Amino acid sequence: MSFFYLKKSWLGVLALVLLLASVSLISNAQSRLITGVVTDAGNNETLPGVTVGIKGTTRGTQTDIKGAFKLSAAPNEILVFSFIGYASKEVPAGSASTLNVKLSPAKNNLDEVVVVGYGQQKKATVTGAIATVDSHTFQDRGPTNNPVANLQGEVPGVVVTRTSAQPGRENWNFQIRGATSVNNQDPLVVLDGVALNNNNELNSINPNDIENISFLKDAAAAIYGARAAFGVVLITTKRGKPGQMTIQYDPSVSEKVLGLQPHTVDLATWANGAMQALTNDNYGVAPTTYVWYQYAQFALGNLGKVVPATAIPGYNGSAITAGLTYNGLPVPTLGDVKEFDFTNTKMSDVLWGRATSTEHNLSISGGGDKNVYRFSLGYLNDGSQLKWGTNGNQRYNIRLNEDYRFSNHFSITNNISLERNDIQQPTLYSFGSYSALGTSFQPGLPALTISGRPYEWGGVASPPGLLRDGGVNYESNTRILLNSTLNFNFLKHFKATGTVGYNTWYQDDQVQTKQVQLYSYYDTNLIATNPSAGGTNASGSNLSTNYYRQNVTDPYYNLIGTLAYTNSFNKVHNVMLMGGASYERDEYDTWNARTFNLASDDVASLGLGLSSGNAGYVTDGETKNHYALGSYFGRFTYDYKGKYLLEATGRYDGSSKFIADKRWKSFYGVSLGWRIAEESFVKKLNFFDDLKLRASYGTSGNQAGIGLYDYLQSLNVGSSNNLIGSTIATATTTTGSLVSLNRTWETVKKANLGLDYSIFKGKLSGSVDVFQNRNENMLVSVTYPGTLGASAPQSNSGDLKTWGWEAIVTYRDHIGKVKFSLSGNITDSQNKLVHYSGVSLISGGYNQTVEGYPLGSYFGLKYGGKLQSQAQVDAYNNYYAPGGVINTIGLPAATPLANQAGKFTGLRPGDNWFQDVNHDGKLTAGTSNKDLGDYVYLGSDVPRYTFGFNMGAQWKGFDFYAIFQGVGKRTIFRGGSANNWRVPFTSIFQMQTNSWVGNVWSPQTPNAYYPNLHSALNNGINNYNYQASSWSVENGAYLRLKNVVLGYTLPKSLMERTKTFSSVRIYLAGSDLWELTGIHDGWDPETTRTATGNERYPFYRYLTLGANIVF
Amino acid sequence: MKNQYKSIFTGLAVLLLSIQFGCKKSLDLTPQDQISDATYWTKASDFKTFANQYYGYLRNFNNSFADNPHYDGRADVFGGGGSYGAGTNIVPASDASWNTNYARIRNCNYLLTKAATYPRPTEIAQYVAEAKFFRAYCYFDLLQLYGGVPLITKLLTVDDPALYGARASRDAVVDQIVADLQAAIPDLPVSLAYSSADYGRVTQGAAQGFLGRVALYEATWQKFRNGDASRYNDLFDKSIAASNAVIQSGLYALFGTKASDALGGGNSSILGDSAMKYMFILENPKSNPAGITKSANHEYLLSYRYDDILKVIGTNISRQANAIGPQQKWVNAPLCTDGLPIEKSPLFQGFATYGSQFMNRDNRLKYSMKVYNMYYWYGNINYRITWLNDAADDANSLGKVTQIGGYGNQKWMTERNCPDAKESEDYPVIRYAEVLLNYAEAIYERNGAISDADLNKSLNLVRLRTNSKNGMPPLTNAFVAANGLDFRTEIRRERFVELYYENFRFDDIKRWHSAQTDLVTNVGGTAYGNATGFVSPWPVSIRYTGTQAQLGPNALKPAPTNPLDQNGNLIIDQSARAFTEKNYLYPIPSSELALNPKLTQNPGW
Repeated sequence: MSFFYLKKSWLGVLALVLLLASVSLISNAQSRLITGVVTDAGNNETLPGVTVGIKGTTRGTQTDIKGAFKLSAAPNEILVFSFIGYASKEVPAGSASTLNVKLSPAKNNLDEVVVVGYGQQKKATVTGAIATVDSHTFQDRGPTNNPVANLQGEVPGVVVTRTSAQPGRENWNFQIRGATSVNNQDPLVVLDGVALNNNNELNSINPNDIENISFLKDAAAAIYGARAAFGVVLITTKRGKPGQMTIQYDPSVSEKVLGLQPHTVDLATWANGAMQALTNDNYGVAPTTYVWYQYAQFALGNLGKVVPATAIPGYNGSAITAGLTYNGLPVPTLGDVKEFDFTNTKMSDVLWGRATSTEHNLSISGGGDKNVYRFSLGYLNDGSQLKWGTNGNQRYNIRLNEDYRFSNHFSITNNISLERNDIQQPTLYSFGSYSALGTSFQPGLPALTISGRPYEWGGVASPPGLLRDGGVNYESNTRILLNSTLNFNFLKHFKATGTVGYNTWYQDDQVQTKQVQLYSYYDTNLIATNPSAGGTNASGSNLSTNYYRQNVTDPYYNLIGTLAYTNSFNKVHNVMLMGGASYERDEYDTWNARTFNLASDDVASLGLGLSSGNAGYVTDGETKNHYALGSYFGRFTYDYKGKYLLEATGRYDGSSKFIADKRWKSFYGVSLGWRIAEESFVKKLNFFDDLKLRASYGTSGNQAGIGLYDYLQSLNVGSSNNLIGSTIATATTTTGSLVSLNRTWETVKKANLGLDYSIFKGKLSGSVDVFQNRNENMLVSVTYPGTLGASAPQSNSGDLKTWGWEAIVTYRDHIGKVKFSLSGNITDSQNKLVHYSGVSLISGGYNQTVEGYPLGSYFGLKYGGKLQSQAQVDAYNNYYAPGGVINTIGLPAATPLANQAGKFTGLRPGDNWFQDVNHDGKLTAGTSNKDLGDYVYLGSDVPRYTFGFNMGAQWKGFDFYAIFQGVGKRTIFRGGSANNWRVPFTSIFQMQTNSWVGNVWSPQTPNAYYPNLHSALNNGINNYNYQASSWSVENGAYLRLKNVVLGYTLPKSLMERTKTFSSVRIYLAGSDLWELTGIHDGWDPETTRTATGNERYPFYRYLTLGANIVF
Repeated sequence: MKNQYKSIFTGLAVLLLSIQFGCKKSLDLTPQDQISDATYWTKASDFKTFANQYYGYLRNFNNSFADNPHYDGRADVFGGGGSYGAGTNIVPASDASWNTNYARIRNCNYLLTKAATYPRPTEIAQYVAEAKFFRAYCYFDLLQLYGGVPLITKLLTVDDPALYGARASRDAVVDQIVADLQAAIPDLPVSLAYSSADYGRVTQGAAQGFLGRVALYEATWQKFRNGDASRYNDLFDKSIAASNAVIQSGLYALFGTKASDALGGGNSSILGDSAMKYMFILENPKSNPAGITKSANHEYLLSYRYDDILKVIGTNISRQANAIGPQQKWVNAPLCTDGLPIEKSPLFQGFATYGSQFMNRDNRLKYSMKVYNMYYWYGNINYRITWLNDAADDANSLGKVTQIGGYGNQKWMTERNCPDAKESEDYPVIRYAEVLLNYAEAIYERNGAISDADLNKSLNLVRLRTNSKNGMPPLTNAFVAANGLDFRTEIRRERFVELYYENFRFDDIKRWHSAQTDLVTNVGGTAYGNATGFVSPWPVSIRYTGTQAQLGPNALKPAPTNPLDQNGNLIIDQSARAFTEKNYLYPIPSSELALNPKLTQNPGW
């Protein structure tokens, strides 16, 4: 029987139920109105906003600004008063019509409820390693494009990273307890009970709508089975509370200023450095005929000037020829240039600057006897620091969370959210290497021509003109998140739920590439037209003006049903049993089209292609795929007097990504708890408010990083790109990778031991956990000999061990009227690739997987120091290259210079020397973990000792909060294309960053960090000096002031007089204002090791002025 | 209310049950935009479509024009061979040539595996033959680079012991190549007309021509390393037979000859002695004064094909070619018009001026490189206006060559008005001239002698195509004897001159085992110093990295102190090539050695 048929019938039932329920609302007889005031038991101040509910129902209200409430209740019902920071209180309604209640500040948070998988638990009896954050985490933080951003340093075990500072494209990521697999490490995120298809969805959620987040870090996640390997994050959005309508408005405005980034030097510094590097290249003799030497010399003589070629005596009108001089200096023979520009433009300062962001949130919440609601609107406009072109990110949110009670047994919970985020960036944002995000800039070039036109010189464009005039790349993401849950308490101890979730992601990309005409400085010459008009090329790269459109439709739906039984026997045996099933399915569909050679740049339309009839002038594509997951799950909890706790969870998952007979797998988790503080012998000590020992063990799975249909041999079909006869032939090709029929889920075994404590009447509390995760059948791409001729399928042949510990401690107290809190947390997570089938090859620098080492390990030579004298150079050469025979890798040869008698090529004083670690007389690169050569392990890119500490204080209306965050240990080596900013003057003709200035070796400064300056012209001496070594890796440890807030809440008395506002708070916040880092190359310590593309977008600091206004 | 509960309870039960029964099927999802291998391979066209990808394996402008494992710059034609040319290369961690060839071999084995169970084998015989041809093509590349390599002739799985097998012997690899080609030849089409929808596919002639190349390569490799005479003579015989089959087929002719015109497509011989030059830049838009197009080319047995609309080359062929310059050694190779080398010919005018050295020489000199007093074009900006060699053409040329800083190449430079990277001439993979030269060399090396008749049907056709009007005599036994020439030298010279910048030279030197004489020589540039007509102190054409020569083109020094040779020509580097015995084979990449312990490194590495 078809599932879909049944699904429809179930929906039919759902509809019927809704219909019946809506016509059979029951009223509640016998109840009468109760009024009262809630006050603080300590200082007798009235407490506004206290939730007053009737036990066992969803009826309730909130106290108003004077702490007063009104509520209808029957005499046999029980009123529950709860308020954050206070112990809840239950009071029988009785027959009195007035109830004044005093609440005492909570000694600890034992009454708090924690969201766990498919339900909630009391924090006191939770046995898993579960951390939570509440809505305060997302307050006062200024523009936040992704709520993950605000978690940095807040949660032990949660490491948050980003790869960029580009608005909307920060690529915020987080990991729970470090790497658990080489395949994808994104925790599963469940929003209001429904899993998100992928964590990109967090890019459009409104952080202001989040009530709390639970992080399931250990076996507690096992109930999510197949996808819980990296932990599970449960986000709960804010709901309405019974009581009068509350309108809250939170506006803020933020100013971003540039944070750490490499800064380019001024032209004179560049020129002097370049001449020095070239002279070094030439063994101490200035190469005065070399064009770039002449260029630097010419720049020094003409600083701040633009010298048109026409002003140079002897210029023939078309090209700079050899032998010309100008003002006594030889003119560099750069044949085709029209002028020499020596403006002192610091391109990094021209491109990047300040930006303003604004955010507005409005919510209306409240509710009555039958229903509660919270409606919220959000708007964020995040400005970009890139000062040219159209840039930014906007987010629009509408959310309606609503609960409706049809009867005492039957209710529905609805969450409806429309989210949209739009990202803009200039299309020619990375256009060749001389772009805004390119690896360098040309020295001396102006931003624009004298009249403000786009500028180009000798094949090198200044980025501003291209950014401004080259078109815009618009990305629009619309997400519709719907989920409804029917709750049905159909017998005394039973509760059933049925959830339908339907999340759709719709993306629309529109990328227009306009033609930009680039001129010489005085507008006299049209130097280039980029992209060129009309042209196209077979590979589809956007050489010409073109317009690209892409749409993605990605619906993801969930069906979840649960049935729970809760009972208590003899008041000491508390039992809960829950079982359920779910089905999830994703249907991804995207198409794209591109038209070249457009009739007009003014409007963007696919129909405007002038050459649409010609092959290659229109390209299109389509991708469709899907996957599904079917699951059964269950939980059993038992506790004896709330003292001895047991929880068991299980899950049985089937995935469409595996062949049928390897598809289903069961996962389980068991945890135990002992609330030692409840034991009488501990109670006698009268010291512990809470003391709980927790232990858990469980398994969870991962199927990420696996192709959707990898078990099926498929063939690609498309253009062969080969001309046969008079057409480009179609070809069928293999996918290039083998099919695996025997792979299955990765299974991570997680063990955790934890201790929660609370002492000094709850003033000091905290917890400590130690954990170990073992991924014994990790899916890895084993490297096979090249003779295989294809990439091998991943197989379950890896074994990764991750272990560590985490701790959090919080101290809350008050001194006089100053309430304060201090809290710190630290996590250490290490991992080791225990087993990795096949041979682990290594190369200098970054290696993702090497058996016996952590993921992301760096290898390289062991730095000995700088060669300080010629005698040391000779001895070094003699050691590694006796008799001039090179037996080394990367060691420049010392051969006699034909042109300079007595001098040799190769190393000189001021260059690095490296140790012969394996004492074989050779300097050799390692090849594999079995043969390290002279390489040593230099550390891992994976951070260790991630920590955060925060402090808060309140005094009268003032509040203060600050959080520091950092990483204790991390190694970074920026190889690859970021090289030319790491290695000064490796590209002699490009602008340099200031990292080396004043820090270069010389006989007078023997301890300077940088070796002799060299350009790439000399035998790769830079490659030798700057290769991966214990010298060239960066220390990625840092400490950062993540956020600091100063707020002031206007006095209540003032509010009462306004009759409009019930509360007004204004605050000033700063983010990323300060940090401590030892990075040499100028990048922020959070910048990736690759620093390519938008990873080069500079990080920023920002100041926020905002208000929280409650009506 | 009771009824209500019932219906709700039913609903929940249905939900759970539906998942229970629905799951099994709802988890069986198949790709929506890929073809399933299981349902493919049912008709002949499936095999043909799969085989279409093989045509991308052929050498082409994008992978053979600049430095690559077979690059002329790594030999003595010009510089730019990097550390490989200098012989200072080291064992690389990985090597794309190794991986790419085995990936391609897998794709050939893939088709062959599927073909084995195809019920109507005759329908797909041609495509099976193509798979074998391309498997042979890839193994020959591996053989040239590494010598004997692991021989994989089936689809491997990750647990196949063959994956960790040892290297096959050189002989075994050669035998496999020969066997594949011999098996393929009968099933390939004899010929394909230019108008055919299959034009460009491998033909019998292409496979025979390739067999002639492979067999000659290995035969000479063995002969000049004291190999087994019976084996190399057998290979010579195979080479001779294969080349002769191409010659006898009558389907191919040198472009620009009457024989070629007889095969149709256009009157290429009206291009006269410049026909060869225009063949290399032959396009369908007007690319030569006669407006001859590709259909008139019967010289290319197999080529990597381009088209000015459907498939342009996509790299700056003409500009790159313009920037390259031959070494002095190559410039000295072409004969004088009396058929004698410059050392012997009274017609040679010496190096007194820049122009003097080009006088009375083989026409291939002026059609391969830029010579004194001539005009050259390179497509973008500097292109032919009228094609009449008139003032308009000259005015839009690169300028008359009068002063030059170094020797300049001109082969492959288009003359038509063509934007950068939009050229579309075909890249010759196997051309008839090479077949003829293979034939002559194989006969000579097999027998120690070659008859005038054999020379006239082969080498002399090549030589005289460009020199039919300037009085150059054919190579004959009598001429050799009369002038004290050496046959082997002259045969090899003909290859050196004719196959200039087609990336044969490095492999030729390797198989002849002649690096000790051919490569370990001074790298020479143009004359410098007293000769007139020179302005630049540096031979910018010689770009040579990894050695001391690098100092030259980078112009760090105001004046060279390098010595001059006996002709007054600058010696760029006196010890340019550290070419030793080990350099005849590239090293096996170290990662492969680490991955497969049975794999052994080539000697000396």
